[in-house]
Amino acid sequence: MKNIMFIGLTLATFSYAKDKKLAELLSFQDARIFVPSKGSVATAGYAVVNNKSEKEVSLVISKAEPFKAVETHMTVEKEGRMAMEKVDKFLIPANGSLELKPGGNHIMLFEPSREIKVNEEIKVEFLVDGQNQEVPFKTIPRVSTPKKEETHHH
Amino acid sequence: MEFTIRKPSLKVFVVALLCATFVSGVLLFSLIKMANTTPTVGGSFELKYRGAEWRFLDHNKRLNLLYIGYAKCPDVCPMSLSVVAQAFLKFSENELKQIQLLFLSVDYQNDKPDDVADYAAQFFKDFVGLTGTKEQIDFVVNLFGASYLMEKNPKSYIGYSIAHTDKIFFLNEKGEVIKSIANPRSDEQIYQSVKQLL
Ligand SMILES: [Cu+2]
Repeated sequence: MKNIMFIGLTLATFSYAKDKKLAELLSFQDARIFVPSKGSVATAGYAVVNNKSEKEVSLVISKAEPFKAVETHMTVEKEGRMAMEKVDKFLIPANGSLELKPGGNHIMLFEPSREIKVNEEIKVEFLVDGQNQEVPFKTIPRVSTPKKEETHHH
Repeated sequence: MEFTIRKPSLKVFVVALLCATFVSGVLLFSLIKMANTTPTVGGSFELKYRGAEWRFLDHNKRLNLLYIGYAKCPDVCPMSLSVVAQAFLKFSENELKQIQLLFLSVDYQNDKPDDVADYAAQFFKDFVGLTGTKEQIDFVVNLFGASYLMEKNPKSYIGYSIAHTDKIFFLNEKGEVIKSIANPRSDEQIYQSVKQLL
């Protein structure tokens, strides 16, 4: 299980490094999107966003094919309930990072126009301080069945 | 005069003392008993499965996990269902016969009964996705001390979101809550809890 996650992570990091441009202010770690669930219209994406620059950087989501809409969201606890709010942008502190994680900040993707499978790469487009940056997100299953995954990878 | 008053008053005093001792003893006993038994939360309830009437007492198992959310929830609901599914994958056939997960969608306006059933079952084949009328849903939500709040969200593509309790309730065969885990994020925690309660 951990091995598989590690391989997935390494693959994600590697494929990201290939596309990396010098000008990019942010780097994304463990960028992943859950394969959309049947009976639902939305899915979520998570990552750790690192900012190695000396200034605070804003992150705005613009699009991700083949999803009809993408948004940045924040889940907050309000009066004992988990509530989700749309936010216009995330702010990544200077020399710091922001973790997008379940029950917290996340990206939300709505209504894909085709079926999304496990192990795909979804290119998510962001505006980083107004500059375009495309980040590959790996699609992962909601529940990992270890046996199937192993035969898949090796 | 003084003697005739004193003699009975001593008797009265002794009797009163005995009575007081007895009464306070009973009081203390019942107080201890009350402190030891927490009031029961939960019980049986009726909902719908794929549009048909579904009664808890007809489908109860030895241990029943209940999660209240909605199918179009993209963040906390699927995360909670997947940690339970991940835990369920570790149980033996025999253990699986004694446990189940019930997922109740409170989104009676947008979640179709079949969608909810299919949604729950894709996390784990035996997860039961339930819906109900607003009255049935509100009854269950109140029964377990949960809550939900539908919020219009015109800025968002989906147009709304539902704030809801993020908790796994562990119910015995009578539907009574014997444990609950808030913000379930670890399958190990679910696994250990089930092992302990079975
Ligand atoms: Cu969201």
